Amino acid sequence: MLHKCTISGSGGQGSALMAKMICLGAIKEGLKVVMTQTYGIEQRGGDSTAYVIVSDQPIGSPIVENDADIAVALSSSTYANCFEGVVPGGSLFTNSSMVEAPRDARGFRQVLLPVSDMAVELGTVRCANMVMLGAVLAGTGLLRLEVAEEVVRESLGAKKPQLVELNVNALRAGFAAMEKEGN
Amino acid sequence: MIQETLFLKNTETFAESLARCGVKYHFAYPITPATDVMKRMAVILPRYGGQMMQMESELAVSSALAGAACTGKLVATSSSGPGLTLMHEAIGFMCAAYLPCIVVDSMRVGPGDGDILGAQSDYFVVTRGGAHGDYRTVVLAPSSGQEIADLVPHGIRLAYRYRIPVVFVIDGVSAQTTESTTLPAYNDYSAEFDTSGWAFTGTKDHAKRALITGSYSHQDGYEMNERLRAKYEVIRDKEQMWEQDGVEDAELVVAAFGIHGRMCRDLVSRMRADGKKVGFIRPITLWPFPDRAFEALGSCVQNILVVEMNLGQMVDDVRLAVNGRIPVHFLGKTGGDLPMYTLADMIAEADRLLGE
Repeated sequence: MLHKCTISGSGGQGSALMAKMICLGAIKEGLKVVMTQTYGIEQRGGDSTAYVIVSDQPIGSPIVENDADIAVALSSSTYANCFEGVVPGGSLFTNSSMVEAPRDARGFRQVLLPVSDMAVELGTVRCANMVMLGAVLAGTGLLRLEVAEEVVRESLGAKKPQLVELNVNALRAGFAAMEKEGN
Repeated sequence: MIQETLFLKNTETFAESLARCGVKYHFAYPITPATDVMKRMAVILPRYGGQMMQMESELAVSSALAGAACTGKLVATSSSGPGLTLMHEAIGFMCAAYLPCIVVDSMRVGPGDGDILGAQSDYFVVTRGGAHGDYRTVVLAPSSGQEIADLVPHGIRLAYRYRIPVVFVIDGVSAQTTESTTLPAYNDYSAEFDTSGWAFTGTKDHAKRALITGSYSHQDGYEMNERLRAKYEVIRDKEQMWEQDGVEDAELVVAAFGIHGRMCRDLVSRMRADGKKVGFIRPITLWPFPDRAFEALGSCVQNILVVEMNLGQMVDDVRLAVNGRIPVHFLGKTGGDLPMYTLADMIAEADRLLGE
């Protein structure tokens, strides 16, 4: 089992947190994970991309080289790179609230979900990343939903218990929306 | 602390591994991409009865390191290229004075202050020595978080067995990578060694003894250098480490350390799946260089490709090891948005050398 993921968004949209949640959940399942991020001279509002590799074997190359089988574009500014970095047969999850003119996917699946709008309905746009994570789990089987919920409880439970319910609901909403799409 | 699997930046894995394996004092000065080592040390070392001290410069760091090492306590520092450059006077002194310590170098693009992006451009300075004189330090090059945790106990044993500075090098890309790593339970590996014959612990239980020194004259200097020579011969003989796969019938062998070495596993499995006879050698000790891995290559090997995140440093040692027997080629770069070649680049160059 090997998954390579590219998770992109604008700074503040929580793409790095989403990537970290995937990693923590995968570790719970006894899997190996590697996460790399761009680092250097960054600013808020700039693009942020995290690369995650999940495997049941020790991981060789830690670099995702335009060969992601799971890609997430939370913002329009990161969409083009994500679109071009999906392998044939892979899945691109596009935040259609932000990406106004999505391109036609050839050779891979594109899922269009308005996760920012869905997040606003749930209470705040800031949980759009968790809506998207729920959708990714339903669409790829990357992790079980219960494991992701456990990670949310453990990560936020101690310091910000009031955010647990919101984020768990966001995960479930994304998961349900994706299931409704018929995977 | 118990054995546990954590999700850590590899710089943090260095800190956790060093603290769990007995480091008591860590001296450092902040520098990207090594600062996370000292930051985590500051938080966790007190739990083990130790302390992290931020000094005013790398010169102070290295002098404090040498001074504390005189007491026989396990000491460590962490830095990156420009900081390491400043520490070499003390590292050379510690080699002459037979003092053990652990140095972590998180390599970035040079020369000069360079760039904060990762590189493997400190190969020369750590294997040849950045200070004057005939000295060597043991150099270990882990390629993943798990290998950091697995190698730190070995590095500490080497430092005390041979009373020598041991340098861990990791490229800045790997240093900033976050991975799942199983960390060991606490065990002070330096406690396996008797330091009572040399460590400065006050004169309560023994007579005043000769100063540990890096200064000597005439016959003393000759004898000390001969002792060092003999020690380095033993290390060269006994301590070479490397990983290899697929070299037995290989037409092409790819040699790389650290991150590129790790990528070689994927390179070989992919190219072998296409029926191509490719193997790899990943040096784990950069000094002593694993000459034996290259000396043992059979006549089937027609080419060696060395891949590095620099302009060609380890490739010199590969050429010395094969001594003209096999053509040695080089693929490397330093700097840029992605300061290294990708797996696709490596495979393309390997294909070219196979004549495909």
